[in-house]
Amino acid sequence: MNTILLDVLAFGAVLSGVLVITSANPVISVLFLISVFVNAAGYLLLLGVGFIGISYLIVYVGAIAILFLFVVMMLNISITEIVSVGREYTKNLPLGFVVGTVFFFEILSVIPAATTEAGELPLGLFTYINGLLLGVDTSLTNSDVHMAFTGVGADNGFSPYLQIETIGQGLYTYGTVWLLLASIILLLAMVGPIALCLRPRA
Amino acid sequence: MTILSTLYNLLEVLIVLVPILLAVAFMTIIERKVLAAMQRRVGPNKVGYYGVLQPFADALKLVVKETVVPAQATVSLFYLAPVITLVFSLLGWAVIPFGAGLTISDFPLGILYTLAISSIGVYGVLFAGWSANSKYAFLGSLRSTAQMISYELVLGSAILIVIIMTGSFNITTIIENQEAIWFVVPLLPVFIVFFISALAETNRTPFDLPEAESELVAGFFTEHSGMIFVFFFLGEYCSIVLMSTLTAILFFGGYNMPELFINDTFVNLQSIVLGLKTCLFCFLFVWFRATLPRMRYDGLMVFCWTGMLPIAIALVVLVPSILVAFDIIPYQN
Repeated sequence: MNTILLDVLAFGAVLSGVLVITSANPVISVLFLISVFVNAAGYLLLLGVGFIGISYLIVYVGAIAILFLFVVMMLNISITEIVSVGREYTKNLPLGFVVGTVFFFEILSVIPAATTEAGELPLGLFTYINGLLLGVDTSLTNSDVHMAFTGVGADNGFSPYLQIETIGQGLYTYGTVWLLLASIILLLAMVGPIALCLRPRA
Repeated sequence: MTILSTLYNLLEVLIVLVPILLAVAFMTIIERKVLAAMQRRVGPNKVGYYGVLQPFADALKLVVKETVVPAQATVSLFYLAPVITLVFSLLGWAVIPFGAGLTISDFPLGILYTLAISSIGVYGVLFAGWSANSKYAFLGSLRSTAQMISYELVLGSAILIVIIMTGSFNITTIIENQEAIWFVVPLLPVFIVFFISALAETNRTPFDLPEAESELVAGFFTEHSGMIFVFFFLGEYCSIVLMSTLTAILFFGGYNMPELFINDTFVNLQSIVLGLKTCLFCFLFVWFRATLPRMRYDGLMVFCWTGMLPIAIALVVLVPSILVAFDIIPYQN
């Protein structure tokens, strides 16, 4: 039963994803975007990744898609104009294919190295600093990082761990570097537009 | 076997849903009677004893009315919008415990689920305004949406503080953590912030800008009539009752009460206690409507972003700081 539902949800997500870029009316295409998010959230929930599924609903459907829809509804674009622009872009489809393939190849060849080796060194540094601050012995290796602070690993503790606790354990120990990196990127993304829009007062 | 369990599940849902809809119906008569009493009028008093059956007469009138759909409307979304509003305000009840263990789903992320569902409910308002192709409805829906997503932040921060106090997203755990003391005592400022944003979230006075009758006819549902208007109406009052219940659960101990006598009858007093607490907040909603004048729209947004949100964020920092400083984090393992 659940596997059929998973298939239906996956199919729904892909179908709505296609409809996002094919529908002419921008408001309707944002509607299909929302449908993609809802389908993906349902998929994650059924897989048992409840927290991430619900965060999807809160963050993407509840905030980001509403802002999209808000802006798109207020823009007064004639549909014929959009369609003609769309025709122009369709000519460049082979170019898009080539660029997409190159990008995909780059991502594939860069990412694995980045997650395994480069992450270890700064992680050790953070562990050392945390150890100094909290007065905990950090003579353990990097891979035992949260043994030094909590004593119980998320994946081998016998007490029942909630999903969020597990995610938190992973995020604040092994993922420290990536968490900091993501937060800096987010901060830039917030400050950047403000700096771009700000006009100095004459 | 599976069919039987499906039927059983359906029965469970109906057992929750039918009383909720009845409560929503009676919420409308509470509002009219209390408003009347506060304005020294009689109020509806012809249908049933003291006008108790008035909501059913109203419903009958609205159902037999003609449904007019504007010629330029996007018909599918025009019909979808009220359905979204009603369905998502009813879905919020899935995780509410009416007594120890008396809940449809004892979901470990219950309170997050409630937040997610209430944020999807905004789409009903947005679609209604856009699909009707009317300037009044559109302006009303833009106002309403901006207001709802702004105050959702404050509401979420207030809930976050309660989560910090209990260390759980599960609503049953949150209620059981209040057996010693109701959270309204240590968290009184948070309760006030929560209730103000709950008023704004349900578009009630003094924040009922979306339906500012003097400027926007009737707000986002200007073009909706007859049966689909009933859906909006029910959805709105359902979210009022839901918000009252959530207030009772998060700050007033939910179904907890001091055990004054031993109850060995088959009557479940816990549900009645929760119902009484909910009625108190429903009454508060109406009381605010009778007392306060409507705010101006810019004042409303300034109040949210420069008044409420900084207070809420300050509280989110303050409460855990106190917990850490006095080493009284309640759930350290």
